[in-house]
Amino acid sequence: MKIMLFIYSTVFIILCGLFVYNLELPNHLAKLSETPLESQNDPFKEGTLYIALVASDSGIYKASGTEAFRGVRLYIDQVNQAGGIDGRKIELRSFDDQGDVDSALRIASKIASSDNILTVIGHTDSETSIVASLIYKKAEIPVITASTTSEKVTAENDWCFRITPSYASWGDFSANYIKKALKKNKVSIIYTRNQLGFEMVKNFEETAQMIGLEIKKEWSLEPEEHSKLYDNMEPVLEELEFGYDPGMIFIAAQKNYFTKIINLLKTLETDYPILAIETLYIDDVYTNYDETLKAMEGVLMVSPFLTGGANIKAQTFKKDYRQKYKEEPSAVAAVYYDAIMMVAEAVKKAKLQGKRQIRRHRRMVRAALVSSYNRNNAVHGVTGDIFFNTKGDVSMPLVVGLYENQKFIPNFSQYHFISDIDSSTNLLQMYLNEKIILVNDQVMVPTQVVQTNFSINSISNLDIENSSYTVDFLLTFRFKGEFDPSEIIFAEAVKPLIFAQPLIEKKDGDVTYKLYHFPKAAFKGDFDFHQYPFNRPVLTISFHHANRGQNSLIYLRDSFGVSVLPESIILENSGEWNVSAVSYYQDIISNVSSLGIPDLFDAQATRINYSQFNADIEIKRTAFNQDAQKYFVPLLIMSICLLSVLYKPVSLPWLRILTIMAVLVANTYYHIYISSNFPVEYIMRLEYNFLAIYILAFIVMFILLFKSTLTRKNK
Amino acid sequence: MKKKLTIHLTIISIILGASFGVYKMFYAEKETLWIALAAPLSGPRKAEGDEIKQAVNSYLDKVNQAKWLHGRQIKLRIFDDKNKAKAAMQAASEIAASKDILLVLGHYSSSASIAAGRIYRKNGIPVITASATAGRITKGNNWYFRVVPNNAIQSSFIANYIKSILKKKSVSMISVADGSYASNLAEQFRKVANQIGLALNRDWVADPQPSQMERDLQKIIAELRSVKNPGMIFIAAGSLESAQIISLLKHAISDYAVIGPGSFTAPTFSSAYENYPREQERPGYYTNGIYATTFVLFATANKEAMHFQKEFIARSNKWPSWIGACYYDAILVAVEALKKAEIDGKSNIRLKRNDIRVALTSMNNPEKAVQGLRGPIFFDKNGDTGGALMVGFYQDKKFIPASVQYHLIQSLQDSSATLKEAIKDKTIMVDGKIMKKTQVVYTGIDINEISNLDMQNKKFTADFYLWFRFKNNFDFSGIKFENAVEPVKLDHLFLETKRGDLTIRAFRVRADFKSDFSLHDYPFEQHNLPIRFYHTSLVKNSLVLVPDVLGMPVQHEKNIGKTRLNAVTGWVINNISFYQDVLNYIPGFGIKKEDDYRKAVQYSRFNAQIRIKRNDNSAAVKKFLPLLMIIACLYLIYFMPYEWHLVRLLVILSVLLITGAFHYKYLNNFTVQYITPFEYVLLAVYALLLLAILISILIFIRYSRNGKQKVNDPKFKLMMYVGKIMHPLAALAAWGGAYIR
Repeated sequence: MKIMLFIYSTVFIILCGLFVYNLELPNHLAKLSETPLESQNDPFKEGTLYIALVASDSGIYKASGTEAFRGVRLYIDQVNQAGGIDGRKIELRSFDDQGDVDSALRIASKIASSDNILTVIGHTDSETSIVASLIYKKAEIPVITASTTSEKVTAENDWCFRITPSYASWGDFSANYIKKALKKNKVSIIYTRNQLGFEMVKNFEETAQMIGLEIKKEWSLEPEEHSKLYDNMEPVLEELEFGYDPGMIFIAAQKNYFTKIINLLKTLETDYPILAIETLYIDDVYTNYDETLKAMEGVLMVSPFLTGGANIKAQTFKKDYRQKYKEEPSAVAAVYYDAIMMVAEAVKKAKLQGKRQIRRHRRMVRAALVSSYNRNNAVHGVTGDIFFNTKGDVSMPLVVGLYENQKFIPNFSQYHFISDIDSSTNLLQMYLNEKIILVNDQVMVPTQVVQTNFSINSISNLDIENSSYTVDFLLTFRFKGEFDPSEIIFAEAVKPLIFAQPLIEKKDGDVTYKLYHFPKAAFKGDFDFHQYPFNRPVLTISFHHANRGQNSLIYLRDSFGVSVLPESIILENSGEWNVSAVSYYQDIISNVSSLGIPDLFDAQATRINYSQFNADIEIKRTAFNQDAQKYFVPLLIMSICLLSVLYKPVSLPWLRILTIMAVLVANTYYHIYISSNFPVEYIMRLEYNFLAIYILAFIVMFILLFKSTLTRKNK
Repeated sequence: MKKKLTIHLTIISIILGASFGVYKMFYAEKETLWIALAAPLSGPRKAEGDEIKQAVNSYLDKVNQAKWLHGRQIKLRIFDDKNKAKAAMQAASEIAASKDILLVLGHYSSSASIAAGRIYRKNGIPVITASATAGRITKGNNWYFRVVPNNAIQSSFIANYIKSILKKKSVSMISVADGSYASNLAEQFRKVANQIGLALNRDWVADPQPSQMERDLQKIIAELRSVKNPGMIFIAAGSLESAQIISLLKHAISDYAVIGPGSFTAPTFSSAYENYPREQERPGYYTNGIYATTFVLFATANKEAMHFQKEFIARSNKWPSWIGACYYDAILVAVEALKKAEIDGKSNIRLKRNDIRVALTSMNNPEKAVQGLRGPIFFDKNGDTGGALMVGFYQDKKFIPASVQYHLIQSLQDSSATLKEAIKDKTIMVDGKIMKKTQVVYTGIDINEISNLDMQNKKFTADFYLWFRFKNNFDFSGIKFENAVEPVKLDHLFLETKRGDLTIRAFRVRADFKSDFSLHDYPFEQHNLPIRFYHTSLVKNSLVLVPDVLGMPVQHEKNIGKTRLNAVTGWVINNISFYQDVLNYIPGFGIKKEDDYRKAVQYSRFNAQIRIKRNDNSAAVKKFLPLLMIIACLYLIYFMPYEWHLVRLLVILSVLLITGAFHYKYLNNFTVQYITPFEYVLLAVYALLLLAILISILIFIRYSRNGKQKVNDPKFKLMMYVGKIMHPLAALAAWGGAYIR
């Protein structure tokens, strides 16, 4: 009888397992088991990675310091939660240098003498970074600075890397942009007499001379005396008031300063075109922000990256940040997030092994930072594609935008660094048309920005099993120059969507606005049924230009467009489903091809990237999960029947076999039914249950016969 | 019990033995036909000899397996001529002395062929060579045949190509005075150059003796350096000598234009540099940019040649050169001659050999030609074959077809039109025959995405880049995608650019394509999704679409395993391959699969094949697990008490019901004529059911006859035993069968 007990309990456990599997429990269990246990067993992978963050938690840069800490913390928590880097956890050691050179030196010496800090991220501003990084260089500790912009930080220091573009490249770029994109020939400069001002203006002047941009006048201001700003500005304003034509005004100053300058300039009668630089990073931008913003209306700004979420990484970063800190992330948080990500990627590449070899490990991390990445193989960060050039600087394209309705809107013409595919287009022609610019001795060519947005009205004909849906939606484009939507490819469209006459076409200056209505566009996606019937299908509408790559055309989400809330999307004829979330984002799809151009044959992989704009509509079942009901009730009944067989009286064998066989037949028909509904090659979560019933039926039948043989023998 | 078993075993073994005997008797060996192969199987030219052996054997295996000669086997006797005249003569004497060799294939080199040829002529043995091209071999020897164009044609072709395609006005020649191949080639070249007005700047001749040759070559190269404008350099020498000349040349002058004859495309030449340090540093250092002719260019060849290449690679894991292909043609012609000669029943070997010679000689016009890898093969009065040569150049150790080729015009229907084309530089005259230009367009495809796999409707959606690289003009409007669901128009250019005199045009295509989904291995099958296109107005003679192997070097590895195919569907791309083949179109009858090359219009067709496979085994698990379980349940009836008739019936019926349901669903989804592994297992379940029914009925009958008192009848036990053993055996056999399929 002991055997019987054993068998019964086995069956019972299997059944229990079956039902537990169907609950949401496995999700939690899966998460637990995802944490690799090997880290504890493998002696080589043992050990925590210590990374230092030096930021100003007090002093004038307090706000940025906090943001930096949050950005780094967010990434470290994510990595550690996912099991760390090759099983190693990252531990953050944070230091506060108070934005002060002396304490920065003290902290740097402390870090240099530590025997476990692998890499440093910091410091907050250029001055402290320059002095501290000399110590790190001597101690051979790799440093990644995220918020400094002075050229001197990374110059002649091959242990120091920077995530942000240097002042020099800003000056270079601004001069080019004024001449080539804005087509201005004259410019006047207002700058502050500090590192930022000097470095930027020096490069601006050099470039201006080279490309034939006339600098009419330069005014310099003392940066320290905020209160005396008005006095300082008085001669400038006077000159301008008396009809001096400055051309374009270029302001090289920190934001808290230039906003005031702009405020003063706006008091003048003439509205001069202004280009300012927005370093985004270290200013106390959080104070008196709104006040000054009004003055910024119509001012052109050069910014290091698109804060509006230019890629999917930026979007998830924003979401995660909001979830964690209940606040909108700033650019500072984003760059620090990228900095720690870069460190983590380098550590991964370096494949560190062994303990107590910190000096060797530091060298390996540095080597990975230097050599593992290039334009074709960059780390996709929140702020863009990151890789270091020989100076240890990034070369990311800068973004130009202007303030409209107190928001930063990217300008319709941008520039990008030239790539292999561009080299096949007619460069000479572009050069002759003055379309090409040179920044840091690298060629940049124009990129068109098209502001776009979806407005989804309703979804009909939702067919979960075939992954098809029909969407009624509006699509808007705002752009400068020429843009032909007829070459747009909708990845999920059943038939190519035809762009007929736009519903609305407007022209505002040289900006064109077009609105198209697609009343019945049929789409077919590929829903993931692995988790069926607990899956949450995502209805995707995404499009990209068939022939124009990301270098020539970028879609951005138009902030003026109507954003539809998930609740207001009508899901026709389906009581079972609700729209739970809608997200609109731009991302990049990339194809690999040499396109038959002999120059590209030797290239490892020539990527052709496309800017793609997406709408993801996530739907979920209403509280009453019909699909689950439909299948789990019979599954439950079948299981109970199978179990009950074992408890029936020993006599009536035919009745028991009948029950088993009936269950088996019923199970077969259910199984065939769902597999004809979902023609997928993998096993769905629901299907596991049916497969389990087959096995179970056999086991029960086996037990039954075994039992009856036993009893007969006993007789 | 033991007795019975012995009896059974005896019966089984008798049956087996008898069937084996019948098989033996039926396929009894008939007379064997012997063919000799004389080739260099040792020494520096071993590579060529091995390739020849391999190629000839691959055809013979096919012939012998298919029993094309009424069950008679053709066997090969191999002689090593060491690529030397003396050894060749020795081999020829041995062959002449033998009483059963009907025909000889060989020799490889011209000098060996010339020496041995005299013996064959004297003894009356037919010989076919596919590599020795000196004119003297066949001229005045009516026992010697050749399936490749001779040196006169080759020289003339090269001279013409230099002048009209490479646009060089002058040429310098370096030749080796070997008295056979190279001398003959050089002599012919001088003649033709003079005729067509190609200035022969310098004409250097080196001594064939190795030590003297070295000195001569040094001198020649020194002189060459001093010549201001040597023009194109034509090298007339064997493979080994040519390799030596090129290496000296490359060390002295980095920039030069060289063209060579067929010896440049032999395996010995291309592998000659493997141990040179500069070559190791930069593969292709010595050979990049060298033009050469060849007799077979697989990238532009016909279907048979493609097939040969594939088979050759499968057999030897090596790429064949023209040598293998041409010897394949030689054995093909030889077997054809054996068939025609009707040598059955004749006893005299000399008579047989003569009949074979007559049969070979009778293949003397296109109507009686044998379709070989190079095209139709027929002999002229000398025993030579004509035909066009192919031109290519080396790039990164690959031999790439040149963008302009020529084809032979078989008939002169409209001589005035031909004349016009001659004026327009579209034709050349080679050895008295007119050849016309063929445009080669390098074509490439890079797959971006495969989606919407639809097996029921047999189609899929492909998104890819398509590019063409070509000289002069190319009309895209005629490109037709053979298996596109709706016509694909190439009207939107993705990119157009120029490199040198080559234009590159790229398109992005996204369209639905039809595909057969072969379910022979269902559910373990892989599918080949094809994308095929050809030019509707330009036939193969005017246009060849060649896969751009240089532009798609990583193609084979790149997409494999990647989620270019939406991973959610459960399929992944396994492999992508490209090839060019020939589409036969018979006017009025449409596209024919079977070759009727005489009537058909041939188009060059480009093929891309995307092989996809299932991501994992879950499809097989979910298909087979239920079947496995019901087979197991069915097995349990043999363990039931004898008197459980009703229960057994119940199980049998249920299993029948379940199998029927699966089968119904399967047949509903797939309408195929053949039996897939899955269906095979389903049928096996029916068979098992039959067994179960049989045994159950037997037990029931006996049980009801016996009455209830005799439950312990030993017969019951026996029957159950039979079931217990037969069931798993049959089930295992079924699984095994399914697996093998």
